Amino acid sequence: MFKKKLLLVLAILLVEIIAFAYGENNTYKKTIENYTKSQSTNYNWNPFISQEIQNLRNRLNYSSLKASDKKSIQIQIDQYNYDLQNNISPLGTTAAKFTGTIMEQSVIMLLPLLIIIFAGDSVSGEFSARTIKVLLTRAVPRWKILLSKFIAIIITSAIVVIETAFISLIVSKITFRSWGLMEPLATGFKVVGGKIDASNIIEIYQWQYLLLVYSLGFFIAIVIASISFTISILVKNTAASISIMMAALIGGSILQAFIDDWPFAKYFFSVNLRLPQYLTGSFKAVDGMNLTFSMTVLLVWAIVALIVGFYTFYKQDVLV
Amino acid sequence: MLKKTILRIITLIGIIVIIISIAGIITSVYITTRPTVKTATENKSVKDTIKNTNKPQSNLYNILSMGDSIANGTGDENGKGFADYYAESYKKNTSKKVNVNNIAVNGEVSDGLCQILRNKQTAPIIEGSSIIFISIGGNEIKQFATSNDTTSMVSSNNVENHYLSNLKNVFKIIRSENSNCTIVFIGLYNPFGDELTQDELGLLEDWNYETQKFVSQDSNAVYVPTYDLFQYNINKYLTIDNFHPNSQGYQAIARRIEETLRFH
Amino acid sequence: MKKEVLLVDNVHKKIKNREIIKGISFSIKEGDVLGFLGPNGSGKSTTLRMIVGLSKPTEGEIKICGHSIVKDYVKAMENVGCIIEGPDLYNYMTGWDNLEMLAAMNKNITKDDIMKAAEIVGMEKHLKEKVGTYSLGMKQRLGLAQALMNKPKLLILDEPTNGLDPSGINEFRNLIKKLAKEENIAILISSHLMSEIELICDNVSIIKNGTILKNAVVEELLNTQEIFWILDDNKKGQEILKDTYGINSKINDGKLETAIDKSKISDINTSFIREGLKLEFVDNKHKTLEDLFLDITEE
Repeated sequence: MFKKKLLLVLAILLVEIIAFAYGENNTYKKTIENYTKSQSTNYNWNPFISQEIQNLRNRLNYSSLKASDKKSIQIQIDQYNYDLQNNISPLGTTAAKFTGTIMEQSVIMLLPLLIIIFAGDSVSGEFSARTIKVLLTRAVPRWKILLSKFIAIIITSAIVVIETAFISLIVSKITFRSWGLMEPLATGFKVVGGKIDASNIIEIYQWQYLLLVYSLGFFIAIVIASISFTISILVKNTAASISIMMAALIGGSILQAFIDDWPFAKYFFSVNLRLPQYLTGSFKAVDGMNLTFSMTVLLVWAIVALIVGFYTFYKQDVLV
Repeated sequence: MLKKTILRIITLIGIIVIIISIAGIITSVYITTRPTVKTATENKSVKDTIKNTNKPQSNLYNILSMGDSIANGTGDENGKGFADYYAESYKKNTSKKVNVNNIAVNGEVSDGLCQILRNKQTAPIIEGSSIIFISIGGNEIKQFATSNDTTSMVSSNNVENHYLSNLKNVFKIIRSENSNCTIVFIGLYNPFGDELTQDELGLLEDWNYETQKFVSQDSNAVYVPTYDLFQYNINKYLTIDNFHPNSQGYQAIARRIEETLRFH
Repeated sequence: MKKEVLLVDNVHKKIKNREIIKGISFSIKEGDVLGFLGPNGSGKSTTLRMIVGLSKPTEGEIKICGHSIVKDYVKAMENVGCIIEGPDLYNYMTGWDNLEMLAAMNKNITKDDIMKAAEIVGMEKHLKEKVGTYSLGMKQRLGLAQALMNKPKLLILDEPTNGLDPSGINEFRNLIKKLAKEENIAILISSHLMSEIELICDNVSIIKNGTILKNAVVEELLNTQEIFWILDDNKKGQEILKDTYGINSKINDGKLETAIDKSKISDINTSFIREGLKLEFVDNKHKTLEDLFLDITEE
């Protein structure tokens, strides 16, 4: 059963990632084609990059530059220099960038879905198959049995996250040729007064960024696993528990639109899943929502869910 | 036995992921919350890098380019822009030392340009400039090309008026710091070709017309149109993003500026 | 003095303000086999679930080998093996994997214990197959193996012979009796098969509507049975019974019926023959546990 689910998750990941990689590559190729058709020359990005670097260097010399702008310009220059040295097209992408994008995009719905496939069935499945009886009539207290199931889910989540990283890296390396692990990028954005504040940004390498993003992805996985696990305990039915979680995730996407006007919306867990975007600075700034806030909200949801789950499981009469 | 070792390996991988993730999470939180590091040297270095442009010396010809990405030269494969091409040809006919300063910002709008000019640190550059090129407005009018909203007619008027009032301020600030330099305003062209509707074309024409009307009120300013220049040539003059000019396009603009200013 | 293995003391169970178990008390000593008998919905399964900790009683106490199932769950359950309305094992795993996984939860069970349990139920040759491929009988046997792995002092079996063929039932019956007598295991069986309870159990508790109607020893219950004769002249026999022994009898369907102690039969037979009657047939009127059960539960 576990093996079957693992294969299913593997298949889903492969299909989604290959499709995404193909799509990106396709768009890139089409753009180049169009340019070549209209300009009757081939797209040679070296002069473009050189020009941009020059532009940026000019800008660095001129006034009215805040320190933050200076930093971000410097990082852009470093990025272009890297592209130049490694023969990477600025319009295209690299294995490292792609892998980061995959996690940034999946963290809202795809990754939670994969986790729910395991966590949603964890306890429900035992009730449906009625094997819960043989599991509980041992000389082991109930909470220990539940805890061991939960730990299994955590380890499974870790495997899923690692799988995502590996498959992304390999597929994108084949599609886009360059690793791009040492490419610099900017992070360290803050939300100050409802706006994105870049005054404190720092430059890090893509591989470091990948470690950060995937760590956040794992955190999200654990939170989703906890909530899903508890739902599994409460409804004792796999289909229902998966549906409830998916509904909550979709509801979160819808709630995104109301965050500005409805202060309570930002306390719902599925609105706070976009953790990687806090790192890249590409998010809609809402006052009060930053990485620490979102992580705290998620942590509280996870802990409360687990407490409810364990308590319910302890008190439940097993009637199947 | 095989099963047990697989289980052990999986558990090990899991533990490693957990440890790395905890480190990653702590790092992420730290990065997004560390207090702003104020550099005391900030002010000093900026002052240092401003070239001596306080007063235009007679053997110096300072060209200043301001505004949006077009003023910046974005899209030119050679890394230049119309300001640089103009400088090159100007050099051939003068013994003065020709400098090009550029404070343009990609994606800039008229509000932002006003802000940059209000900043005390731009004053010396403006003061020392012999000629100022301005390209602005494209990013504000762009939104109407892509919206299918029929109510945009009202909002387009608002945006246009807001832009014109900003333009007034831009000129006011420049003239308050430098009454002698020539101001050249680069008009907007249509990069979308046939995709624009009649209404949208009309808006663009009106925008350019009102700008030209305003610029002509300044005795030492000139409006250089690019609409006609690009009308039949967008295939050859635009770069890969089909929006900005490429090197040929910028050279065309520079030639037109030269033509306009030949005997100035 | 045989030790008390299970004590159920005034146990009540309320579900949503409706009391479904209204004060049940009974006990089992080691080596005894107790049968739980009752119509559907009488509360047999609920009671068994409370004994193994799947449900919790709202009132009362349950003690296994002196340990309370509520307060000292682990120590209590160490002595218990059970099959509750099952056996429900993991269909996608092999027999051996199932047993091994369940055994791993208790540190004291060795591989030998698992093999022994499998051998006792006769499943040692099928352990490499997936449980999903087992017949119902095989599943029942594996379920029993799972219950026996930890060498329990108390075995709780909820409908254990469901799905077994007559030889399987026979084997099962012998196995249970052996476990009870040789290994001194206390056994609690709930079943609908009266004949089986009759043959396997020493004692029986009859449950209806959440209360125990009767706790009795099977032998005693079965002994107050009716005897019938088929004589060539039943009427004469009736007179003899009345006159010589003072026993009332009736003639039903060509049979002379009365309720007496088995021990008196030989004397009465001798009397009949001495009086010249021809004895064609004498037997128990099989008042089975079933008849008894129906009688009692219809009161």
